[in-house]
Amino acid sequence: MRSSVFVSTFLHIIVITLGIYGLPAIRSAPILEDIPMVVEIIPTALSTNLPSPAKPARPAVKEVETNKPKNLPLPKVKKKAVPPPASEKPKDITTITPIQKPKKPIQKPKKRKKVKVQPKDHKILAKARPRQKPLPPDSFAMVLKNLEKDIAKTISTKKTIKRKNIKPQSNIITRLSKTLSKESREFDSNRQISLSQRHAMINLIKRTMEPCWNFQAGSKRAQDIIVEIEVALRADGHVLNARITNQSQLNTDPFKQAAGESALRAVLNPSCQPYKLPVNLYNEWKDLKLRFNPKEMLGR
Amino acid sequence: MLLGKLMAKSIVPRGFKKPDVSFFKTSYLLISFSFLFLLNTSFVKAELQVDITRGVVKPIPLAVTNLLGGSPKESNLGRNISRIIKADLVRSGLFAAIDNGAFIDIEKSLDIIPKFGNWRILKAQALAQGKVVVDGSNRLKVQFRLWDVFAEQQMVGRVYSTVSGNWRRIAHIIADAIYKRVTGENGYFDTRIVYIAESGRSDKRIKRLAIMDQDGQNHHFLTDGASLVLTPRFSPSRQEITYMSYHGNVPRVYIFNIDSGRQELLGNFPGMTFAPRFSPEGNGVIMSMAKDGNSEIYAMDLRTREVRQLTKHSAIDTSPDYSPDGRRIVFNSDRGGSQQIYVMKADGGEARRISFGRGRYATPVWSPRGDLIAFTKMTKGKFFIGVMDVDGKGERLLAEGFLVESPTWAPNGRVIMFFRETPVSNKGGVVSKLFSIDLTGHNEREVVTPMDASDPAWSPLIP
Repeated sequence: MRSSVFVSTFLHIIVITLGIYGLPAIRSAPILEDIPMVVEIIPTALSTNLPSPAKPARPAVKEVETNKPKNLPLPKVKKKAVPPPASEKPKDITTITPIQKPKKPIQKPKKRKKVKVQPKDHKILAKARPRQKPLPPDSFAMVLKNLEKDIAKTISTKKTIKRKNIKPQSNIITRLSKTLSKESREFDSNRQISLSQRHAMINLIKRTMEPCWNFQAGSKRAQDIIVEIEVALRADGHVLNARITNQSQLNTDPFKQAAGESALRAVLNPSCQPYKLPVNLYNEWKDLKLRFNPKEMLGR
Repeated sequence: MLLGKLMAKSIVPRGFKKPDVSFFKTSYLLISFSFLFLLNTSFVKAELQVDITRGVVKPIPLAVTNLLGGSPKESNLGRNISRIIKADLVRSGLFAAIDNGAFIDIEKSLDIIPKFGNWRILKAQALAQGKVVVDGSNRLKVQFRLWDVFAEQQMVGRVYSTVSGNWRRIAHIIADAIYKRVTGENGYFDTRIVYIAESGRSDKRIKRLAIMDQDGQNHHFLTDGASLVLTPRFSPSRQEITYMSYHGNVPRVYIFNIDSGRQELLGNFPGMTFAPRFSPEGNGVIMSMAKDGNSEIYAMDLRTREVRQLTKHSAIDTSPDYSPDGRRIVFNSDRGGSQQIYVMKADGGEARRISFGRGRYATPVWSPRGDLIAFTKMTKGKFFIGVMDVDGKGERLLAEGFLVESPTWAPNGRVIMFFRETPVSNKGGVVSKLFSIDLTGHNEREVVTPMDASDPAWSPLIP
């Protein structure tokens, strides 16, 4: 009897302890679940009453000329034995030699360029998330279906915009940015991020990045491609540097390699910068890990 | 450990055998680890990870500068090569060439790193530059580099050397290299098209075998028009063509070697012979022959000239084509009551119907990638060119017309060429032209020929 009481007490203690430490929401103030709702099409009449979105503090934009090496030595071109030019036959192309990239003579600290390019209206307008469908038989067919839908949607959305003067995707990004900027703008390294802010930031990065990722979905196994990119951002929302972290996996296949490079181009594309993220939460977004996988695009 | 011992002591009732203490040790460890894990997830800040699961499919902005040259002749060649590279890439639908007039500052040498900022302003994602040198013996050396403008990296750099008359082919090869490096798939620009060039009145039509580059240039006739020629097909592995010729109203199948110009009679087959096609290795052909009013499919080994019958059915079986691995054959047959597409093993046997849509299906052609079958469909008084999966699912119609027929695949399996007849008068006059369309169905382009054209066949990449 005594032992049963002891075991019962012990187990109760375990459960209570797990409850306290495993569910931190019990001992902290409840977080306001203010997950921003992304609205696809917003009539101007509704948005005109909104206060203008607060822009995060950005350093002055300045065009800086980078010192690029000039007059580099000629690359050494391998000369192969050239057969006599007797024939005009098409197959007489004799030498195909890779040439080396001209090397930079001195490693100079690279000056960052600041381009005065604001994100323009993205051609692909706001899209509704497709409903989850059962696995389609052919991924490329799904891309084409989606493409057709997108084109039809773009046309219809353009018409709607013309008719109703509706603001597209860029407006959604602005609204997300505004949601994030509502709170204090003071930078605080110890600041705790709320779940809603986290969701809003993820949503904003997704919305910014997706129209920039130009993916040639022609491969039979395109849905298996995963490109992981680590991005370091400056406080003004521009990309400081970015690198593919799973390059070795991509190097096995030219298509994967091309997909990796297209994802990196999306990250580095100046037209898609700066990310309109709140500067007070810079600690949270200064390092991003982006994972590109076209599964949704392919209907998977 | 102490906790484990306590639990072991207290839980066991008297008179019972003492259980294994290791059970309590394991439980203790599990609880401890769970506790630590929960603590860990509660207090450690997570990194911001974002999954990008959608992209866009649109042409990649590309800048191609005129290839540099030291002399007027070299500069002129450089301009022409640049023009062809751009035309090839734009025609593919995957690239958008930036107008040369917009270029800010063109590098004067191929051996300096480009000022990427100038190209970023133009939104160019890739930059192709080159240089042409013609030496004293009239040989051409073309260097080119492809740069990733955003990553500021060279993507590919090559030197090609050939006789100067081959400058056009050099341009196609460079376009292929750019296409492959940017998309990861093989290009198809250094290829040729063989087709039937048609001229004359409809009742006295002259049909000649003709060949040209895939962009319609370098046009040549291979036959003189004295005999009616039909259904040319390229060998997938060699620069050879099979075709049918009616000599004295007797149909014969010939093989024509493009490099040597040699023509060889494959055989005198009794009855009507249709649509010979090469096997994937190029050492056999497959065709249909009509005997006693019934058409069956036969395979012929080109080395032994042995002919084997593959189908035996009272229905009409025709238009056979091998899968790229050579294991299966697709053909059309009316054995089910209407003309539909069937697949069977390469050595014959039971055929499985794969097309079930409304209308009639004809001329099935297996994609070089093996994933799709192109076909001609006739329904509602119209003709269509379409593709379907090899199991018949996912049918998509890409092009339509009064008469569209004879699909042929580009070697990378992303583009289809076909011919389209359009009526031009009430007296039955038609014009027949070649068109290409990519698998999206949104990039249809005419391939200009000097006269009416039909029955195109796309070559593999020129070796």
